[in-house]
Amino acid sequence: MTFNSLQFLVFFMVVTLWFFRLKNQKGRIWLLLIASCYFYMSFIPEYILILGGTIIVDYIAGFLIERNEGKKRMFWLVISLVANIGALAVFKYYNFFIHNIERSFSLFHLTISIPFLKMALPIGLSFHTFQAMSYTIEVYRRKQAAEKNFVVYALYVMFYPQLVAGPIERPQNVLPQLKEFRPYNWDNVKEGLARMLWGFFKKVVIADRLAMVVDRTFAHTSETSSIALFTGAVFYSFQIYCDFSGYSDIAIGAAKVMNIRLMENFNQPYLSKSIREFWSRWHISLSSWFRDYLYIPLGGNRNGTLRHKINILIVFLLSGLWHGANGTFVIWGLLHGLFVLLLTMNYEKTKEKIGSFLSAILIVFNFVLVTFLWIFFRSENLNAAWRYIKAILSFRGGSNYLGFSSRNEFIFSILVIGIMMFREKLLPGHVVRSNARFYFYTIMMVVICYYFGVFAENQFIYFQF
Amino acid sequence: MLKKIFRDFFILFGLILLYTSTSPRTVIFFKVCRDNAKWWGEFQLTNGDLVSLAHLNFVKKFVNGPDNQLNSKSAAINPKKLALYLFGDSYTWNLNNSAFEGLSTFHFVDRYGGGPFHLDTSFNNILIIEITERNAREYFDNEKMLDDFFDSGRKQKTINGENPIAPGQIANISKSQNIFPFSFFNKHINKGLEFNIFTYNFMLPLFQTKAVLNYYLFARASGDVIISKDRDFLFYKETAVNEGQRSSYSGISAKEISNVINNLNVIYEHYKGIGFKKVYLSIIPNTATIMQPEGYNNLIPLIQNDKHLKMEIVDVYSVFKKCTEGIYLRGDTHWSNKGKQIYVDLINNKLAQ
Repeated sequence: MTFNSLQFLVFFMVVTLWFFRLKNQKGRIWLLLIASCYFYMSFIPEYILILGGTIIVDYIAGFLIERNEGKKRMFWLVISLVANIGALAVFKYYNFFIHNIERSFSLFHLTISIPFLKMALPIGLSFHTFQAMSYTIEVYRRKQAAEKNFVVYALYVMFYPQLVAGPIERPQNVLPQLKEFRPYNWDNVKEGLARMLWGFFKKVVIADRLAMVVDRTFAHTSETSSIALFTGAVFYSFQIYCDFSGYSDIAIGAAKVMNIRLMENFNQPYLSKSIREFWSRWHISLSSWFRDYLYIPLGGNRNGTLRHKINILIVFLLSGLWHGANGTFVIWGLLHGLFVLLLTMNYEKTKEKIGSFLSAILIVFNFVLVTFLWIFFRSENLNAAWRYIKAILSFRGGSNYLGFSSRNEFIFSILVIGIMMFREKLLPGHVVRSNARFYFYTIMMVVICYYFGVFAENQFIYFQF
Repeated sequence: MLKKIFRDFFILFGLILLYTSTSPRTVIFFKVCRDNAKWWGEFQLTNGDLVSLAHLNFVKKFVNGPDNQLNSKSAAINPKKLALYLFGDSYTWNLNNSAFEGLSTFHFVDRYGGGPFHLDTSFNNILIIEITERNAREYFDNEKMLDDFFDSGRKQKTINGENPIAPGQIANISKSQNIFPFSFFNKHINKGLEFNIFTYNFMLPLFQTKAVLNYYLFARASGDVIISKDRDFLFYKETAVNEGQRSSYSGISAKEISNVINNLNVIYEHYKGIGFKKVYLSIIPNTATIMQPEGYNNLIPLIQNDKHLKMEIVDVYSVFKKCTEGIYLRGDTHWSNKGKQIYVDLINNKLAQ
């Protein structure tokens, strides 16, 4: 079930009310686990077996890592990593690699036939495997005690608000919260619901509206004018931001209602002045995961300049690959890595020297750069991405039809993007202290989402990862 | 105390809602029980299915007006003893013997629950398989769907967990039928929830205000309906987007066409084998295909012109392309009686051959 569906709204109401009906933490954990199983199985029921399998392997591995020393300790960590990465490799990358092997053979006029895997990608696979691996790695590093209670550990992996699209959590943050009984807190409920409403607004009013333009321009590249194509690309930047951050808002808000605090995943990324800063503000849970579990173990910036640069490229290559089994994601990741290396500037140390005008220029430049890189992310293949970029840079004429039937909708789209950026810049928190303001805010957001929302049960973009 | 009662009530209410919405039989049971004349009844799709789905009844040009009558043919004894069987749907379900020339008998078989029928092989039996374009790929590219076309003693179509419930569909299941079983993870649960929570007459003003806002502010329709670029027609959304098997514009692979042709040939061989003299295929184009042809994926020509196809064709597409005026209803997925008359005349030409 997607967050912007009636099923989720009813499900959330039932689970949350029942959660607060229970007066002991054991009951609450069982309720959340069963609810999370139902949530996951509403996509493809059989795939719970895959998720369950990796949970069992990691739970046992956690125990055995903690009990052992030396090589045996490493052995069980490797087992856990192989199980999780193996699941990713099989379900997500197998067909991609087979396709590339066949293409490589065809270059030498040889044919090879390897069967493809005819299974849909288990939803949220990339997210829950990474979250599970963070657990076993932290146990190995002795920064986290192995969780004895299987139900608690299973819930750590399967907690429904963040199960299918993050934030990718750390055990030190979530496990203690799952075990602690916290009584009903009206302030948390208000903040959580306010956050969820904001997420719905970004998804149904902004993201799904902009999707009409994006789908149109990416499907009709050859006949669309450069300005319209650029508009489509810009709209995609905001579509993916509102879609993904909207999902994160709903996830964080839903958890907050139940007194569970999840990590923040976005911090106004389009106000970044560099690609490096962008990655400290975009999908923070993923970038910090790669930093802590890949970049730093590879040596980070401690082994010389050349090694530092190689490490950065490896991280961004794998980050691109994490997003999908397609050359477009690999190139997208590599280009981000390249621009991080080429355009590195440390703004924390020099920000006093940068005036607001230069800051604005840098923000716009960085946004345009990121927008062009998103074209690879959105395109079906590298040829399509390259055609799209070439068409923009050719400054040609053509159809200016964006997929909107009326200019009003275009103006409205710009307006809501502006409202969203303004509000997130000036009012980063979602605390609504007064009850009257909270009720007013709720009614206003429900009315706005209903009347201006585009309801097509569009899946969240990051669900496909 | 009151808070606890409300809390428990909503928990129970939510669970019942989720359960009943997973069961298409239960949804249909409630549908049948509701008195549509009352405030809690289901609002009906009047004046055009798309107009009603999008609540655009206030836009006069989309509302179905009076339509022409079909030409009536005189009944005549025909030495050829022609019996026409039409496997059809809502496009052809009110056709009868009087529309056709020179028939001894006419049988309409609803693809969604018609039959069984028995073939009298003493007649010259002609079969026409009529299907709308938006369903053609879904049916003919899917071997499981072929069951719909087989079995001369056709089974009554039953609603199972896989079938979607569209608000407004009229079902034939009586109140006494068993409302179990249900599919716990029914993918169409949201349609069931939409029906159970929102499709009441007293909620109509809510939908109508949104429809007014979208139409006048954004020139857009709500829900599953799209307004054509020239703003003269309503299209069913799935037929007018860039993706999906029902779309007039989504890409089609040669492999898919080949699969469709193979399945059609299997159907052809089956019905020729049980006694039909001729088997025809007629694909009714989506409104978007004819009225907004730019970017059309050519599904119908690709199927009809395939050299491997054994069925003969009642070529509605070519005729409609030349004569587009007034053949479709503006606010409905269906054709007007003018369009239907063209179709009937095409069939009569075939019968005369």
